[in-house]
Amino acid sequence: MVTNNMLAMHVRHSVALIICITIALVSLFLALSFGAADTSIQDVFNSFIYLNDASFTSRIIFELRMPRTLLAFLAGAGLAIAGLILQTVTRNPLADPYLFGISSGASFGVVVLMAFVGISAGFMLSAAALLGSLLAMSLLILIATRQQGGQVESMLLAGVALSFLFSAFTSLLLYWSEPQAVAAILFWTLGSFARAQWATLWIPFLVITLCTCVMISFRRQLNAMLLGDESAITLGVKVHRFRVLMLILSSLITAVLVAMCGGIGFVGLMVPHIVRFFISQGTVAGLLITSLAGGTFMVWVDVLSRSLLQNQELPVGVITAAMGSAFFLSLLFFRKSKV
Amino acid sequence: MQTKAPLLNVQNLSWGIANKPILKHINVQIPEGKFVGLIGPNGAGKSSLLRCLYRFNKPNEGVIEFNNHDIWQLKSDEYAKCVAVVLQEAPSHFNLSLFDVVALGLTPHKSLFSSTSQSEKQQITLAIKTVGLEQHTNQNFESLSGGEKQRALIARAIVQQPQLLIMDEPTSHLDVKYQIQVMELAKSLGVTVFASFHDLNLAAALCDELVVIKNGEITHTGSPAEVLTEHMLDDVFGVCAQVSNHPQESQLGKVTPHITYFYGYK
Repeated sequence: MVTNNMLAMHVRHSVALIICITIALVSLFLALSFGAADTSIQDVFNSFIYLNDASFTSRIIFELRMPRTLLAFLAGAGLAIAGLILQTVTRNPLADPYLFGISSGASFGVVVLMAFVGISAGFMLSAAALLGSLLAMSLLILIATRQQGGQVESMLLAGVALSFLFSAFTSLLLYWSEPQAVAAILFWTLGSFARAQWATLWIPFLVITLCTCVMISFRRQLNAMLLGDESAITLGVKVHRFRVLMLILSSLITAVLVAMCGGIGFVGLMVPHIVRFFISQGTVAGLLITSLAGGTFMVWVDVLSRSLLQNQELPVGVITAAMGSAFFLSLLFFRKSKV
Repeated sequence: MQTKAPLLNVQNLSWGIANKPILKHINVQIPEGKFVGLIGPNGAGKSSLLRCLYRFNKPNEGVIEFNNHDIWQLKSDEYAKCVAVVLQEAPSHFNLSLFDVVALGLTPHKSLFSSTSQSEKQQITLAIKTVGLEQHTNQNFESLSGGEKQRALIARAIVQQPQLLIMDEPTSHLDVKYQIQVMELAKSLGVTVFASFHDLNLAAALCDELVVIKNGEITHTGSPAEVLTEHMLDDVFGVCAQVSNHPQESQLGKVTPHITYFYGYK
């Protein structure tokens, strides 16, 4: 009977993973047909068949939409993984990549650049956001490594405090800035994939792939943390060191994504929860499904941001917050307690 | 004749928080293959002592040796391969199945990128079957009853393949049936066990040896018949009680103390 149960569970996880991979691939393909320029699915299909086609449609698909769609997928997958890591190591279902002040650090970096150097676009903006995020991350890790007892509480409180601290500095600088800079920073804070380009896409790809591989390799230790620090120690996990390592991973993912796409809240909090409703996240399949679900969700959010209003792009962060919270609330409302 | 060294040897162990001593110069030996019980009133230092043994608390003074090796000199995963721990009910608000929780027993044995082999899956399956939870294999750990959770954690300990099993009041909030079931299950594993107890009659029935702790000091050690005396119960626990032979054990020709408490005495 146990063997049958085990087999059923294995089959269920494998089937769920295959379904998620299929949905992700189909979504990535379909998303290429949406946008300001009128393109059909047939056009997208033709672009893939005739790779050397230099037509206008083909260039739109390959040079504009594809990097953007891939960045959206990477951002969703990365934020979902970062959220899952943080929720696991803090055993706090409300932990989220943005709770730890990393996004506020990025905003601070951008505003400093705008206020003191006068740059309001381009690669320098992302670099400043990355530096700001890394500053916030370093401060948080410095505090977390100094604490042995009550490390989780210190991390959470320090994250919230850092978030407010950087927000205060950002607000102060914005208060003295030009109205144009205020509008730019506001749009940037709400998130967008408009800056996606092939040249820089390897950075989030590399960071997210590496961090996901490390997370999968440490999946047993992550599961062990869920039953408490004492329990994890008895299974040979060095909990304080491990928690700091996981914090570095999730911060790195968040910092890179915030630098490239701005602040996209709610995904890191919500996607791990939604996946948890359906499948155990203790397995490799569960972890991969979480990242695939995050990526797929974000691809469709990006499609909506491009197509909801004509000739105007909606900020991604607004859609993730609105869609995510509505879906999350309906799940909580309709779903009976799981046995 | 050379005496065999104990599996776990605690020498002159002291531990405290912020200059407040909790454990004072503790000496305890756990012989291999024995079921040893740790008893004492609330706040005596039972959990603190066990936490030192599974390296959650680092002692301020003294040495803890496992198989003649200082446990703080061993790597954390090496020690976890030898010593498994079952704590009081562990809450988890995350969606881990019973199988996932039991599979955690493999953690110290596996390298980072290795997957769970078919034989290890069979090992997990067998452990789940041993504790009688096969019908709950895919069920959410959080949805199990208190007794089932403790049995699941024992299954995890089985998968860990330890030489020593430490249990910190694993039955403290279980009803009588599950208290007996969980502790008999632990005894049936055939490994050395060091467990703290609240129920003295259960400790008397199951343990080969008892260690009594009061105010952070060891006051008595020996067989249940030697340790569980009316004088000790009055002195350590402050209760008036009569100690007799357990009727079931008397029929089998064994001596197992059975405590009957009297009420209304101070």
